Amino acid sequence: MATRKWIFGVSLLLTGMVLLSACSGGSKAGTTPADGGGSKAAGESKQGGTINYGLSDEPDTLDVQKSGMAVVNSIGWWIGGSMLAQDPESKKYVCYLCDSYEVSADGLTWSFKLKENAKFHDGNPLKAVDWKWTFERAQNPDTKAKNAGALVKEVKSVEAVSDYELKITLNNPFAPFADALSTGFLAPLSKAAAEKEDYGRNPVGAGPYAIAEWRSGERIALKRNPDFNWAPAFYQSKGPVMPDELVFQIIPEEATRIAALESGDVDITNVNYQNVDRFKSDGTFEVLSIKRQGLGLFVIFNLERPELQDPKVRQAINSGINRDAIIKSVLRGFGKPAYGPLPEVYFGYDPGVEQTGYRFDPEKAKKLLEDAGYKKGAEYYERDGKVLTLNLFTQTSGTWKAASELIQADLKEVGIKVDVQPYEWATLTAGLTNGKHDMSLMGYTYADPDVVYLFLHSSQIGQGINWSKVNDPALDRLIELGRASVDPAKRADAYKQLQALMIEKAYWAPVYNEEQFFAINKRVQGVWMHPTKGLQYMDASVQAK
Amino acid sequence: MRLLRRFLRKKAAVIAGLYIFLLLFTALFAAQLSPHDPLKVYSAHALEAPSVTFPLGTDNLGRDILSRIIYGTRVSLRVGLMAVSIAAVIGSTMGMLAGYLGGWIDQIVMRIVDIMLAIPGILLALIIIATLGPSMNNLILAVGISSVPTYARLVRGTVLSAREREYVEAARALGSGSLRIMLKHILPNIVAPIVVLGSLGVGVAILSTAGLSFIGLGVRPPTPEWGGMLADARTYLRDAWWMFTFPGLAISSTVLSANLLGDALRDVLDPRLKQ
Amino acid sequence: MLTYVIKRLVAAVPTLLGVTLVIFSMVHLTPGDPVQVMLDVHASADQVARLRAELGLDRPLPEQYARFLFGALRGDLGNSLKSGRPVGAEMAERLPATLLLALAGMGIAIPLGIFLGVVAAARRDTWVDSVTMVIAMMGVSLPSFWIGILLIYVFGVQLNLLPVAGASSWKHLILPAVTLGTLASSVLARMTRSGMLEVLNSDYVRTARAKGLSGKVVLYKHALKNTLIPVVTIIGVQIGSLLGGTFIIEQLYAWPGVGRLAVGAIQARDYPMMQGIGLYVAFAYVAVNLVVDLIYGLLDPRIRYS
Repeated sequence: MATRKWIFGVSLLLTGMVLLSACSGGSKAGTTPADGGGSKAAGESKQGGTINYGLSDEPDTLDVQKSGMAVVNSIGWWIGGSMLAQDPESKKYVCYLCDSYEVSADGLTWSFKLKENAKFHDGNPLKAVDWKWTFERAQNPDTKAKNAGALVKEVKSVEAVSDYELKITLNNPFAPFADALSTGFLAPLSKAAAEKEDYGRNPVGAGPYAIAEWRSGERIALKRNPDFNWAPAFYQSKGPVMPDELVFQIIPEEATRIAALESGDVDITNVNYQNVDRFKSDGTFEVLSIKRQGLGLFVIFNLERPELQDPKVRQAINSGINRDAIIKSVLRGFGKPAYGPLPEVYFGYDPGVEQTGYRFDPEKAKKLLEDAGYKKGAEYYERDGKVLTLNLFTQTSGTWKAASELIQADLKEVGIKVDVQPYEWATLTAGLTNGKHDMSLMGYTYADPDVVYLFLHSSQIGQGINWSKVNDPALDRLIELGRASVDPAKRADAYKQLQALMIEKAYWAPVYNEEQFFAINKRVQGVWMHPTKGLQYMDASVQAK
Repeated sequence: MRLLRRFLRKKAAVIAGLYIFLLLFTALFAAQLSPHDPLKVYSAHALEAPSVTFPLGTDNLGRDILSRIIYGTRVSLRVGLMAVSIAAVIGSTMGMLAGYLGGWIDQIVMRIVDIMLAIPGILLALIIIATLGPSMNNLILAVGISSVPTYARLVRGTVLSAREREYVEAARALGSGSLRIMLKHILPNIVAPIVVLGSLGVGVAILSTAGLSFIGLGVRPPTPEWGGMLADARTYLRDAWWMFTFPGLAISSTVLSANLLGDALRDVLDPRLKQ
Repeated sequence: MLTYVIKRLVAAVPTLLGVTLVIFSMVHLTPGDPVQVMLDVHASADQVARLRAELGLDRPLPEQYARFLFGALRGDLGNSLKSGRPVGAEMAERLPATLLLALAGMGIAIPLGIFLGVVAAARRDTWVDSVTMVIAMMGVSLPSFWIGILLIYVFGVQLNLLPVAGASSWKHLILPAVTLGTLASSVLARMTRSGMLEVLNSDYVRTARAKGLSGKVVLYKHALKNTLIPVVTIIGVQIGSLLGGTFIIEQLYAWPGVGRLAVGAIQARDYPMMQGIGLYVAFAYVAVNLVVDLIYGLLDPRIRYS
């Protein structure tokens, strides 16, 4: 139940949350149109029909600027559209609601030539003034913007040069800005619509699907936008889309969602790991997957605890966790062990961590504890008559809970007593902010390696999410260097050093990186997986039942 | 003796009683009866079907289900009995005070009971556990508190009718104090209904615990608890029926026995049903 | 009778106040900060303080409670912290589903429960009695989500007869209502049986029998009617709790009722939503109890309202 997905800050998904939603990840397994394979819309695809999607979390609002949920980013994007879109092949950011754009050499001035034929669902043309209003609304404190607010933090000014020319000036170069412009959180807003009562339930955008109905707790139905013909170049279809409707049925319970997929009540849903092979071998379904754009699971330590201030103890814990066994049981093998703070899909990832990172070695872990002055008692290590006992925060169900139980068993073998404490998300983060944890499971989804700033920079202790309380000037310097470097080589080098330092000091215990799987009833054709943005419904069509 | 004979005439109840004894025995000798350590993770054997080594199969992490069910007996009985005790003690005290003393005390106590009844038990439990943290004691507290009003109402009703009886009047006329009358003359009257309600309550408590585990508010891992095992198994119906089936059977058979026992006790102890 | 109703409603005020006060205190005691849940985790201290002040969360608790009460009196329950929409509107969207499920569940439970109870009592101590009662007992011995998952698997996946999730047609109602109804009927069956037995052993039924009235007339005309009072009480209690939403069933069948809304509100520390739901549940409880008491009068003319 506790699988609510929030994205914090710059699309940072602190996953308590087993499930990534369709907004994140990267993939080789997905079929992109350029591959020419998979279930692309066949030539004879017909207009009409409904795609039913089994959704685990209901959005809080579809006023995209006021949400921090991953699911809102995704659904909001299909309704709203965005200035840029990421090409699934080249990973470059290409125009969506613009004809062309350029960035000045210093990275501060972004100029866009807008598409002149694009218009909102309510019939109003989409002009530069609308974009200006959209950005200013996100920046206005009265809006209480969540992710959108963080995404526009570096925006200094927005200028409507003419009806269809827009100029955005930034305070500082901000590498993730192109990605920000391709998210649903920064979809263009129609002022006339957004100022109406209950806009969050009746959003208006410029995307291929428009809102038809939102029945609270039950379903969100989108319908074809018949005027849409401005899809980005990497889609087969320019629009409008084929299906009449794209319906998100809210089914919170995983077992029910899978049953609904099997019974044909829904056509698409995310499937848990133990069902992947079954759906893959079932001819009725196609299974697509996406790699997480982030680190799936790691253990953070509270460095205010005297026991954990000793790097040897942290190293011992790192050596005591059997990553392969966790991946086998919890992910049913659909994952890879993680050794460093960054995932392999990131810019700046250093493959060297796979050699230098900690491996499962209980004997080494015991030796490290003995070096740290602990003596083995009856069952556990002790020092000054005190058993080495640490609590471990986790979620109340799903992969986190299972992983925490395995880590507990692993560390018991080493001789560390772990007290697993499952909390639902709000209690968990409150506990972390108040420093009640010794250790906690954690995971993130983010667009850029700069995520380490949020988790590890000393300025983020207290009010931020540096819940480990890591305060290391050498680490701070590398984080700052990575942020500010415009030269890719320099930036990569900073992150390489940072990854080495993280391993040396064992500030985290990385566990795994995972993939997320979706099963699609073959009744629905042409849905493909974007490696970072999730499932794509632009080229989809539905066969009659 | 007559009561015992009447009880023994009910075959179902006798079987249920024997089953409960068996459970108590299992709980006491869990360590001797379990083929494996219930917490031991056999990673290489995750999700194995029942076999000689693992008679009821293994769970998703590779733990022996039989051993976990055996140890789970301790948890379930403890939660059931303690939750019932908490509810019975608090509820009966409230009911006795309200029923015997009457007046404004009765008014206040019954208002409190109304308030407790008006708040859905699951919300109460959710908030208690969110506030105090997940632990077996807090779980017991949460489950126990939500059934306090039932006992309070029952006891109050019983006391109201008991205190009008001649012997109570007589005791009062002889100058006995309120406390003495309550303990000596009224308490015995409410024992039978409380025993009946309590035996039914054990079942309710075990089911409530399973429900809370479903929401993720059960006992702390890795403690083996039936409801938690069942909740963990809910997505494994297709590929590991043993994970889903056996903890469910353990819960239902225990609750069923407690209910049968409770019903039989009611028939036996309730004087109005004497033939 | 009208004066009686008014009196009862006035007497309900302390209960309502008590419930709101208890829920208000509990919600505010729960760790977790709604403002932090609402804003980014790394929102500036300034932003947090601003929002807190705007929501009135920086005021002393008694003042916040008073504001909530006076708002409620004016029909304003505030806005949900999660969605930003009025609490009243959000609840109004979920209530029909909860009412429908409660009524459908009881629509199954009442006839089934009473029928089983009467049959068992009429054939007391025969195999009919035992079988009926063991069946009824099973109903209260199975974890509801265990049964629910099995029903979903059998009727949804294997037989593919019924939809398993949602509320868009009458077919969607069947599985949740049956799950709920079976559980509720067990209690009713047992209550009816013991009530019937008690009445059948009473003096006036013996008299009726002695006067030569047939078994059936005695059973239905005299015994059943007199059994209904405790049964109505139980029905009242059950409806009262169903109106608060049945979280597990709603969660399992993706039924859009109040129970899921309430649990979601607790998880998001959505104070106004929690308080609104608490108030509603208390109202429902009071109303159902009043109706039950009025029904007593219809069943038993000896009861007079004053």
